[in-house]
Amino acid sequence: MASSKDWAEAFLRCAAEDLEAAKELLASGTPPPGTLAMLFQMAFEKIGKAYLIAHRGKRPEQLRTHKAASVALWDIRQDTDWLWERGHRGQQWTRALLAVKVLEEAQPAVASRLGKSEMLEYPWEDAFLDRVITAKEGIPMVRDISQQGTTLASMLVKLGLHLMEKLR
Amino acid sequence: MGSMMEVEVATKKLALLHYANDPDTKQIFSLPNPERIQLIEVTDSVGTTGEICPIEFGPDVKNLILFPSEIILVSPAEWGMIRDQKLNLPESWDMESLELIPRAS
Repeated sequence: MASSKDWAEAFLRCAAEDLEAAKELLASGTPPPGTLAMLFQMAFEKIGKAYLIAHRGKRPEQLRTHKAASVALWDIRQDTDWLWERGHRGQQWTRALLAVKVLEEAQPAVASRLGKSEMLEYPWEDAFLDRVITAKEGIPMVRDISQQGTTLASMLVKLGLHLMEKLR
Repeated sequence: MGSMMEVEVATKKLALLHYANDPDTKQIFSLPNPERIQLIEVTDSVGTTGEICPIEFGPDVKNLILFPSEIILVSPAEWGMIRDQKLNLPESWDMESLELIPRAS
């Protein structure tokens, strides 16, 4: 039977593939913002699941819902001694963690549970604009991630690699 | 491919966008390159990981950044380690050639 360590490592390998795909999209020029955001969301969801297995003793069968990953990412944000290096708190990771939260809440199943229309992957009808829109139009951060003019994507990659390194 | 001056102009434009976009950015340095923008950015927005991870971006025609770029984000502590030669930049990044791009006043 596979151990918890095996499962945590497998989730981290999957997360690494998602992050690598995100990096390749960025390098390709004008990446599709929605697809890029989904790759980051998927990477952090898997990192969250690896954290729950490695640090909270969860079994993989308890982690089949997106809700589990949301709880994990919330948990990581609170676990500041683990996340930050002692004595170097400052603003570290604040923007990247906020972006992770926005992405997580835009995962369709999570958005639906929260009663939100805005989501990754699928379009929705915007009542104010009176038309159907997608994530790149309705979630400003999704657009920001794909643009050279912001450093959000670089922050997310660095945070993802940092979390994966700490979980190995 | 553009001229060295075109890349320099785009480099400064991108650095100023990044200063404006991330208020926790302390300093941005560029590495002169005739083909691409290369920036190392010292910011409080990232933690000290001891890892240097350059991220490549394709040209962003919509925002008139017509050259590819390579961005390295480091924390102030990591920047100190780089200066003290305790943390190495990628081989092609020559510390001696880095030029500070000041924040617009």
